[in-house]
Amino acid sequence: MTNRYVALLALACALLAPMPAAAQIDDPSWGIAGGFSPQWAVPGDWLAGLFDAQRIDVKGPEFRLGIVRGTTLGGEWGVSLIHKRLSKESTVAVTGTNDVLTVVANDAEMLGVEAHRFFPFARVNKVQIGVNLGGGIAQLRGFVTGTYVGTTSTNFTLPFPDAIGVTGRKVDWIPVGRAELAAATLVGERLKVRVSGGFNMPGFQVVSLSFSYLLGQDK
Amino acid sequence: MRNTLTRIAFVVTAAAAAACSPGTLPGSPSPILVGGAGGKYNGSITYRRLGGNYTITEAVQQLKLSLTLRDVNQITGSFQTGESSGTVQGVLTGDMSNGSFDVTVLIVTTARQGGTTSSCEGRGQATGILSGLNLTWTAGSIAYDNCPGLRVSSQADAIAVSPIPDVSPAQASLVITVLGGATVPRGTCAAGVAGYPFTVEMSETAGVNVTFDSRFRIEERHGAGGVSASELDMPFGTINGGTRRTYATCSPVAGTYQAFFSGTDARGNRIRVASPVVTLAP
Repeated sequence: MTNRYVALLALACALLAPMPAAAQIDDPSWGIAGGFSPQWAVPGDWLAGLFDAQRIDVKGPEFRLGIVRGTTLGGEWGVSLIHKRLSKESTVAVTGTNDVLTVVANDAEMLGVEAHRFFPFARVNKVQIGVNLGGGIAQLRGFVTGTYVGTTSTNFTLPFPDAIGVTGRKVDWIPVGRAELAAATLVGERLKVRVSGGFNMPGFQVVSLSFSYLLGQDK
Repeated sequence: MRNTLTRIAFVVTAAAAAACSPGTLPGSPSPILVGGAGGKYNGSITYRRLGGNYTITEAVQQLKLSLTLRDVNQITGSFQTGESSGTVQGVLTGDMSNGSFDVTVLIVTTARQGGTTSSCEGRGQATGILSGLNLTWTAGSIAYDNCPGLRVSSQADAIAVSPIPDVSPAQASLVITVLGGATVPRGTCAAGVAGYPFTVEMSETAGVNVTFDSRFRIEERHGAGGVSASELDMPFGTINGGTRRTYATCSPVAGTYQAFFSGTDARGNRIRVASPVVTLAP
């Protein structure tokens, strides 16, 4: 844990350190964007009602890759393919019409598309402080193990959407979105690195690292 | 030249005539062989009403029965009579030419009450004997849940007419078996607790999709106690034709286990099947 704080502190220092002025892309330009979150998690049971679940304990890493349009010292928007993997420790207790099916993620994931927009509201040298908002949709994919716990236990290996199907509802896609507080800085002339944290539907994340590389002409 | 051709034609004609003469045809058809992995039986069946304010046909009806031997000693099949049809699932002792079986019968019978005809869904246990080509079957009591009070018995005799079980392409054929056989030795459950772990396989063999009802039924007997039944939400809605699905079960105590599934196939036929009675050996 200490190492993680040290790494975050070093990253913050690197982002906030004064840097010499470099060429800028002031006209909106297209670029590529990507990102990684080591862990998003659904804390407590606040989303349980959405899935007719008694308990949700879901977590896992997230990867993003897409296109972006913006300027080096301004805001940006983009569309990304997102991939949220569910760790094997992720569990959901789904309330069926008659029983509770305890679902453990074996090889489950969410794959979807999300549009985002970064709104900077303050700037310190080359560091932008702002919010990153996004929304999209993701498909539930992969397989889970559903267990009826009783004197005799019964375990089914199921497609992820089928496990939620015991509630009587068919859920193949779920909405995803984000509302994060973010700090971004320019590295070199075209690469913008952003550190953010906050709401990442269907959960929260402490930290997420993103980059965007603009392809436009310098001025 | 002409003489040579005439001689050749004569020889060929004589050879062909000899080849086609009755004396060279197979003298008699090959006998039906039983004892392999299944068979098709034709015979007759009679039902007797034991109770209930319904009337059923108690005259002799034609019986067509197909049986298939599955993993180790499990026997599954389907049958059709003039006014009933159904499935059987159970265990075989011995083999298909010299053995006995104990099966669960799930049956749909046409019954009448006050001028109304009903399709009554019944269930019972049947025992039978396989001896050479002959099959006999006795079901002491078949009870019908959706036709209250109706109980019947049945007695059947049939003869093997083919070693190949009949598979109807007109409706789904859902088969429930226990991998490794219907007798489960003591082992270890997933949590490391001693128990009786086994895997139930559901396979559709006729290439017709089946949509399951929302629940399935499990009946268990633990120790010397009676049968306890529970209904669980069906965790998947369909099984595609020609595919199979499995689920794992583990009981911490000895006894018996049997699961019942029902649904509707893609052609609108009602499908009801059961696993064999699984014996969790002490």
